[in-house]
Amino acid sequence: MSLARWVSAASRLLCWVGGLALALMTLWTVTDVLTRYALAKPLKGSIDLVEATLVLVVFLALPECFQRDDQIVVDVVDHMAGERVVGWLKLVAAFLTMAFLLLLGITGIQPFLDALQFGDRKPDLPIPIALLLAAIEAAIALSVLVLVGKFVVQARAVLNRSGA
Amino acid sequence: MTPGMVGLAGIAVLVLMIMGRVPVATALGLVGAGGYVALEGWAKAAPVIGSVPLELASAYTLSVVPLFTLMGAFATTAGLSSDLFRAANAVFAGRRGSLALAAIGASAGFGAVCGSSVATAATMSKVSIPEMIRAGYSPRLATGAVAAGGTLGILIPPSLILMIYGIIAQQSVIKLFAAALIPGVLLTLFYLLTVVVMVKLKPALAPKVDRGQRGQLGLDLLRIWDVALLFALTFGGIYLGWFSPTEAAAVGAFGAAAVGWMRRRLPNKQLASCVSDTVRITANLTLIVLGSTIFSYFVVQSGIATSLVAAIGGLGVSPMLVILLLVLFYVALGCVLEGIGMVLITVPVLLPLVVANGFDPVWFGVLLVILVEIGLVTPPLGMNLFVIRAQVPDIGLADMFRGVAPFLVAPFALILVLLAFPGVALWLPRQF
Repeated sequence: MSLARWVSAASRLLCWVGGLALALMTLWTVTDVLTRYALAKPLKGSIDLVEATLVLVVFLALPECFQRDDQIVVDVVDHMAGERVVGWLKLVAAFLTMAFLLLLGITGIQPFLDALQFGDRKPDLPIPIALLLAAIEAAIALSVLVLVGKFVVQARAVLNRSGA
Repeated sequence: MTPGMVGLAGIAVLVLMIMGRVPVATALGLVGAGGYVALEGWAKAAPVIGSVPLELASAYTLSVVPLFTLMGAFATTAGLSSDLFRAANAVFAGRRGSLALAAIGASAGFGAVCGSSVATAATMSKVSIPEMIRAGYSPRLATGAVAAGGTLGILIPPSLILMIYGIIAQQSVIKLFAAALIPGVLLTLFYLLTVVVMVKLKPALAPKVDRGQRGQLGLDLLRIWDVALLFALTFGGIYLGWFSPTEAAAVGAFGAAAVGWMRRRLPNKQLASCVSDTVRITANLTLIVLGSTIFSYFVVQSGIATSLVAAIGGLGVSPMLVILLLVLFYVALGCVLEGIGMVLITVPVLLPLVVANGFDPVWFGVLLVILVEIGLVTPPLGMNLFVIRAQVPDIGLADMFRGVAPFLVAPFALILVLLAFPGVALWLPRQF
């Protein structure tokens, strides 16, 4: 299996895990409401669970978003500039997006190490904060890999166009 | 370089990056981080930037975004729009322009379970435009009514833009939703009035359709009982104090799935696809909010927002003129930026100015959504029209833009109402 396919499969997998986290968040919250009103017994740690699953929902789908070029872009320039200029702009945008994600990834390492060292956990459910930070770092790392692939493809397209 | 100058340079670079096709999230995040590092140095900036992802992504208040988005996705896939259109059609049957009126009425109803304008326009165009064209309606009226009606999706709660605004401006989502309700109903009435006036002046725009369906009124209204119940339970639950917004959104999402399942319109594959689409939408939105959060830290550090407030205060300009200039600014901005970008880029800089001039941030949130709505139906961006075009490719974009032009009077009229009577937005939230 080539690296590109592996990255693509991993992106889809993480997106589905994010989906499962969303389903869990929904069902847990509804159950909490039902048990609170029907049995006067709310589920313990609902807020912690929502907050923890939210991290997975938010970050695990990121690589798949980059895979599908889902980001919001203002493309007014496409109607004014030529195909070549737009190609270069896309290349620069891919590079800058990689830089942004790398920045998030690098600055996120220290909080992860701190959480690991001090064993921080959510107050009601014993969910380790380091686990959530690791999920964020993994999603960012995979997103960077996706963007490297996109960058290479875009660079080839731009250089071919320039050569022609 | 003074912090203020760094702030101005940052905003100039941000505009250049966004106009140069850099994703909005990346531009906000990089400019924000770069500016922060320039002002405070890497050692101070790194822990601040590094703490944003977890702080933001585990904020309980953010959970309303995926849950309400999921509710909208289920409602769209379950085809609730067609039942709402049929019910609205039964209400207006016999009047000239009844199908256009029904499209707007159904859009308002659909907006009550779906927080996205684009989704409302897309689903309503599929349901109503072919029927209007078959009945001999002018394509301009048909597309104009659906494009305008679609904008109700982000004003009538739940509204995705209001949720994002609430997070960035640190305002209560409950109050924002309550504030948007009366303006949402008013805008619906203004749109309906626009159709009535248009067909009165030019009857050829909409041939009269026979009123045969009127007898069906009770039956068609009965068919949407579950949609009405879903809205009542979700939002009634919040304001009666039964649920927190997150719980209401979860109940709404679960309820919409149950409605779809009961109607046999939500097979497992579609259900999974709704969940997968929702997580991608949430991831994308949150990345932009994350970029905007870093950018807003930079704005605060640079002191540019406070300088702007002081500079405009020094000019002795009246608050009303300030807000009118902001309205013009946002209308112009709507021509080049889509709605969420508009909110996330401008709110950190401009909200302090709005508040300093005595305007309520909740009121401003509603005004901002109306301005975003205008951007959704005006060229060159006009997302709603592009979405409708994808559904009905036979109708040209120029015709669509001409068709929606008369409907633009309505949001501007609503802005005037809000300026003259802020209580239209603020009365309901003050009851809670």
